[in-house]
Amino acid sequence: MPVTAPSQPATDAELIARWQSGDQRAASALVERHAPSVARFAASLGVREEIDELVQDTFVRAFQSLESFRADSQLRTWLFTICKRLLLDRRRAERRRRDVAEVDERDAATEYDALDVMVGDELAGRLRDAMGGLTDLQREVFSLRVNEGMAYAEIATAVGSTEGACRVHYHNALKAIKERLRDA
Amino acid sequence: MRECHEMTERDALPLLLRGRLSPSEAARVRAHVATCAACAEELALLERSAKLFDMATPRVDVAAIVAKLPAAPQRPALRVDRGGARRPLVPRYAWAAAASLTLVATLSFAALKGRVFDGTSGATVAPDTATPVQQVVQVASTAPVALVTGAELGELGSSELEALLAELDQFEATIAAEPVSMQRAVLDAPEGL
Repeated sequence: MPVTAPSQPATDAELIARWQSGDQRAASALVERHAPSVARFAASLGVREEIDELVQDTFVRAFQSLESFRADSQLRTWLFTICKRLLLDRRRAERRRRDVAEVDERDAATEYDALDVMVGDELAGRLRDAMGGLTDLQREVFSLRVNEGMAYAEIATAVGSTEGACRVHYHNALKAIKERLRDA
Repeated sequence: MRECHEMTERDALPLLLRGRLSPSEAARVRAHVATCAACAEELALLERSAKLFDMATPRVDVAAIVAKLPAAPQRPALRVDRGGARRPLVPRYAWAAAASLTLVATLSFAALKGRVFDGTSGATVAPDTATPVQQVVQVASTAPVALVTGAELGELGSSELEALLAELDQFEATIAAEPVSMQRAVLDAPEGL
């Protein structure tokens, strides 16, 4: 009996082409494939509330401008870039709003707390605190490397930095986490 | 925590965790981790970190996101080549060639029929006494498309182009007005056609 090779899942470029030809199911496949990664990236950027909304806006913006997407870069990297740009726009608007409004205690809280989740053991709690102590860029690079397994060149595109700088940020983040775990 | 100085292996640990290495690379890094306590510890730390991010990330509602997306455009199907570039399944020049061939075939067929009917090679019959088929042949032989080549078309001015388009419209209208009498003429045609 002949053995048939399992069919390869459609690539991002194939799904984009199918959507551009009128196949709405291709959009579902793309969202299903990348939404969890975009949500994790949003969490690493410090978003705690309204991650759903940010992820949704990222996909809406991406599909509105799919024509400008260059197939030589990864769709996921492009989504991260859009996600970060949207978040920066929101934070800028929020800052402007705060400048004109009266500052209260809640608004003043800006420290990273996206990982303030219930953790099951002491080590996880210490790890959460250690990651909270990283700089924003260290945390972004560390998250993309560890959560997505991205190459430094891809990370550099997503966070707007260079490949060499991202390598340094990753190793500095890892070193800082280890030191904080040791000192705790 | 101890530190390993094999930077290539250490750098590959997150990629091993996410299955982004080739089978041979993964086997090489796994073999290193099996003999290096520092890298085994680091791999465990990376795994815990990834789980922590997962715990902090809410499950996204795919259906809700898709519902907000713009509707898929209705365009000709595209094929994706190996480089990821998107191109039409049928190239545009193929459509143009097919249209030209159809036009040439139609005109040739009509001309051939006309010659058989009146027994001449290109003789013109007065419009009021001509059969429907002869009328078609006359129109075809005077059709502007047959007289103007692609190269000449580029040299025409806008007023000349407008005149040409008007002639084309008239030409198409003449053919469209003939279907019933055309059928009759074909039915009445002598055997051997």
